[in-house]
Formats: sequence, structure tokens, C-alpha cells
Amino acid sequence: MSKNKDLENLKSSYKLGFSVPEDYVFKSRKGLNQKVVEEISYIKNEPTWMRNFRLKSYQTFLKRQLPGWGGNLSEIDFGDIYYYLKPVEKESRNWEDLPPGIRETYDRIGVPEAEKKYLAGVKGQYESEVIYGSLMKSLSDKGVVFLGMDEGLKKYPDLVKEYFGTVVPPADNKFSALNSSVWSGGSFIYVPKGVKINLPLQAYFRINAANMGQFERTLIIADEDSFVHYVEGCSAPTYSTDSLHSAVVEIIVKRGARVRYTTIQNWSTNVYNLVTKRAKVAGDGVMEWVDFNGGSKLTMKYPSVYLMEPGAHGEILSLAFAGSGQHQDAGGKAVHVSPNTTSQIISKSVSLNGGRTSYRGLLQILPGAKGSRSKVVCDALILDSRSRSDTYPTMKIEESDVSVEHEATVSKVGEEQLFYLESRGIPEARAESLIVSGFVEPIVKQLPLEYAVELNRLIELQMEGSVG
Amino acid sequence: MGEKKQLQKKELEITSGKIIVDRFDQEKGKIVLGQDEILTIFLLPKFPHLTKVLNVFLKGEGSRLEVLGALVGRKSETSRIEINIIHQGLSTSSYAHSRSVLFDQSRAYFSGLIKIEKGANKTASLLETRALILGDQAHCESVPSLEIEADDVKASHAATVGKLDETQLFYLQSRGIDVHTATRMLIEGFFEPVLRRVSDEKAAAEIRGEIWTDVLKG
Repeated sequence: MSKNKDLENLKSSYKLGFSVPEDYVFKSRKGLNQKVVEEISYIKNEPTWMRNFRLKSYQTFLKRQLPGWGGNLSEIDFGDIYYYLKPVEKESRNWEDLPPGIRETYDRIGVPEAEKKYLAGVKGQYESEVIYGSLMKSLSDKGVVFLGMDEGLKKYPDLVKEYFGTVVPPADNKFSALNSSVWSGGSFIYVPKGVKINLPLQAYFRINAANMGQFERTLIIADEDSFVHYVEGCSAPTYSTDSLHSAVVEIIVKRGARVRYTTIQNWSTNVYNLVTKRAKVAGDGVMEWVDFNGGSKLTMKYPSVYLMEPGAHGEILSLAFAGSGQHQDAGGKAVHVSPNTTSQIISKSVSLNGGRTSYRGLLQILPGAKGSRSKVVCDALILDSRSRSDTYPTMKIEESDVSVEHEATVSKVGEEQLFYLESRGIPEARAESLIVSGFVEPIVKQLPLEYAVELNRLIELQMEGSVG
Repeated sequence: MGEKKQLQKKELEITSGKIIVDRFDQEKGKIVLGQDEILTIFLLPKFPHLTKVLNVFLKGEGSRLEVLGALVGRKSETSRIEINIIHQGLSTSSYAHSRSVLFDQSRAYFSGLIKIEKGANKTASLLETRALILGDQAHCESVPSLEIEADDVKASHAATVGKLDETQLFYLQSRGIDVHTATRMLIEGFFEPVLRRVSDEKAAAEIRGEIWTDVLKG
């Protein structure tokens, strides 16, 4: 009884929890075996090397154990998931060409409207495939490539072969192996030398079917002195059964280039979100991860920067919100391989209504990375006695000529701050929400205005009724 | 029980509470603090290769814990220190502060956990680790974790790893102090914040003497 009521409450506050009827070109059988992997490769008509890459990765997936740390993964039933779902025959250039159910979904999320106003390019992924794509003509004229990963593999086979799986090898962890064997969709981006893209490129990932597994694969190559800002959003219907989202994102930042990758994760609370994201940064390059985790049942995601050459800089801004039944195990990793590299990790988390946030991070300075500097700051707010917050930072320093700082704080909303606002006639709930907004401000202000507004709205939704 | 008795032998009575100087002759230690009990533990490792696991439970209401540490690593010495501070009672507080100076190829592994259990409200807890790496091949790993299950609390940790401050070194040299002496002065200053917290002068002098012997050894 009360469980159903909870679900109803959840559905009413989570505005993207709707679903539309399934009408698909192809749906694989439930569960995973070698045949399913072969079938995916066959349908996609892939080159042999990719087929072999998938099959080898599948064997690795079988061999690897689930991680013994982080959230509770024991309830994932790998046999109860649809691994490949093809919604339409091919990607459209016009929203009008899409089936009405899919078009309506994206309209309700607001992607076409955003595209008109402030985006340089859009990819829409629905279930397993990219179903919509656009890119400003001025950019394609300059040689910018923004394709679905599958199309990228067809049109730029050499470039893909050169970089695919080099930043995140399939054997990195069980879920990168899973993604490598059944990947479908995701973005392929190439920004030529010296090209700076001023407006963001956006991808929007939508799961519609129940028990769905979405395994997109993204590869971004930013050539020397280029700049790109990539934004991804995601959502799914609220079902009583769980879905799995397990992506791999690989980013190559060449000399002097800068890549900013922003995630606004808003999965429904029946989605396991287990993602491997990593960037390799060359000399004087800059990689910035802005990572917001607000939805999902369990998220385990630690965007990483590998600073490969002198002068490389990495920045990770992580923001997590865990409400009822949620566990956000998020954080970041910075690995200093070369001298004079710098990194900064800032993490903020809020747990409420029985939610749990964990910061998990790694800072490693390898021998010889002289003159490297790093700063890690983690702040957590706990809003009630049922919630929990953890901090698990690891620092491995193998070089003497370095400067490393780390600090973390966990606390409740300051009583003095609350009292001050209340003494000014602001009701308690509103005051608490204001303080939380102020707490997350340093990260939110890094977002383009439209996303900042969206994020503040999401936070307010999470905060609704949290004071009782 | 036997363990605790052994530790108590080294107790020195000071005004603010008891102080235990722990020279790591026991690999494991478990201490439970009762109501309003105040305890200071000073970790002063004396063995080239050592492991220490210290679990302290702040069970009694109002109990307070201070864990201080000073470590000097030489040659290929390796130390592994694990400190778990578990707050169970109301209004408990803990302060842990450890400082290490690592010469040569020495290695220090430090893992510290502050756990605040459900209901252990009005708790304040701070965990701080500082390491100075002086050896080219020295290596330092630090995992200061927090697990917080109560909301009316304040828990923090801070960690730094770095080398000697070159401007300070330069300043001293510009005053005619040779580089070796200047380095030693800075190391002495580096340990000062933990030594200053030992209010018993006799105990502080004893600890200071032991650290100094270690620093001069090389």
C-alpha cells in the first residue's frame, strides 16, 4: 500500500516519468549471450574488427567480478534486461519525420525548443539508437563532425579505430567490458585544429521501455587548440522494475585544446547508472567535467582526467543530490602523469529523505610528475537524521616536488543561517531551500544559464516537503 | 583487556585528561571511552616497518578524543597506520592530527575513518594529515574517509602533501643559516602544531626529544 503511494508521489514530482507505447523495428530477446552480441554487430553491419572487439569484451565481462565497493549491485539481474532496442530505421534530420510517440517525448522534455534557442547541434538517443541529429551548417563547413557513434564508425572508420577503447579499455572494469560488447549509440565528435565552438553541442538520452539496458558510447576528439562544450541530459519513465544505463565516454584533448563536458543526470529512480568517463589530456590542454547527479536509484560514476603531458589541466565539478531510496556514489579521479600538471576537484553533495551520497575520489601523482599541483574539496550537507553521507578520498603521491591539498566537511544546514533567514520572515522550508541553493551555487554558476535554471528547478523539486 | 592494561602502563597524568604515548609495540589497539572520558593518544612509531590499527569508540556521552601523531620515515621504512574513530554517544568530539616527514625511499600509508553512527548527534570531529616529502623516492598514500549517519554533526578532514616551502628556506639562508640547519629548523616547525597540543610539559619534552633523535639520525 504505502509503497504504491510512495511511487505515486514520486511520479507526481518527477515530471519526466511518462512512457509512450513501444513500436519498434527490432527488439532483442531478454538477456545476454554471445548470440545477442553477434546479432547487434550483424544488424549494425560492422567491420570485423569491431565485431571481434565486442566478442572479446563479452568474454572479459563474463570473467570480471562486480566491484566489491560502492553501492549495492547485487540486485541487478543481467538476464532480465533487453540489451538492444532499435526504435526507428534511421536517424532523422527533422523532428517531423519521427514517429509521433518519440516526437512527443522530446517535445515534452523540451529538446527541439532548446535547439532553436541556444544549441549548436543536437543528438537524440531513444533506447539504443540515435534517432535525431542536427549540426549548424557553419560548423560542418569548418570540418566539425558531430555524428551518432554508429554513423561515426561508418564514415570515419580509421579515426574511430585509432582511438576507440584507448582511453577506457574494455578490461578496465566489468561495466566498461559490458558496454564494449553491447554498445549502441552515443556521440562521435571531432573538432578540427583551432576551431572553437561557442554554443554547446547537446545529446539527450531517453529510455522508454521497461527493463531496458542503454549502453551508449561516446568518443570526443578535440584537435590542437580547439574548444567544445558538450552537454548531455537523460531521463526515463518510472517503472516498478529496474533499468540499466551503462555508458563509456572517451575524450582525447590534444595540445592546447579545451573540452568541457556537462552532465545533467535526471534518470527516474528505477535506473542503475554505472558509467565510465575518462579523458586523456595532452600538453597545455584543459579538460573540465561538470557532473550533476540528481536522479537514478544508484549512480556509480567518477569522471577522470589523465594529465599526460606538461601543462595539462583537469577540473572536475561534481554535484550530487540523493533523495528517498537513492544512492549517489560519485566523485572524480585525477592522475598526474607528467610534470607541471594541475588539477582541481570540487564536490558538493546533499542527502535528504533517507538518501545516501558518497564522494569517492582518487588523486594520484606518478613518479617524475614534478611541480604538479592539486586541490580537492568535498562538502556535504545532510538534511535529516535518516540520510547518510560518506567521503572516501584516496591520495597516492609518488613524487616529492608537489603540492597537494584536500579538505572535506560534512554538516547540517547552519542553524545561524536558518535563524537569520527566519528572523527576516522567510518560512523554514523556503529558508532551507535558499541555503541549499547557495551551497551548490559555485557549481551551478558554471552552467550555461538555461541549464542553471533547469538545475535549480530540479533541486527545488527534490527539496519539496523535505522539512517536516 | 590485557591490551588496554599494557597501554595504560605508559600513561602520564595530565590536567586535561590522560595521555597515552603509543610507540607501536602493539599492532592492534581498541579503546572504548566512557561518559565524559577525555583521552589523548600520541602516536610515535619506533620501528622501521610497522603496522598499526587503532579503533577508538566514543561510546559515553561527552567523551573526547585527541589522536596526535609524528612520524619520521627513513631509508626504505614503511609504515601503515589505520585509525578508525567511531562516534556512538551524544555530544562526543574527536580531533586527530598526524604529521609525517618522509626521507629517502620511505613510505607512509595512512587511512583514517571518522564514523558517526545513527543518533550520535551534537558530534564534532576533525581529521587532519600532513606530509612533507623530502626524499626523491618517498611515497605517501592517504585515505581519510568519513561515514556520517547522523545529521546534527560537523565532521571534516583535511590533508596536504608537499615539499619544504622554498621561500622559507631561502629566507633562512639569506640570514646566513646553512641549508642543513635551515631544513632542520623547518622540520622542527612542521611538527610544532601537534607538539603544542600536548599540555603536559614533561610529556611534550620527552616526545620532542624522541622525534629529534629520529630527524638527526639521517
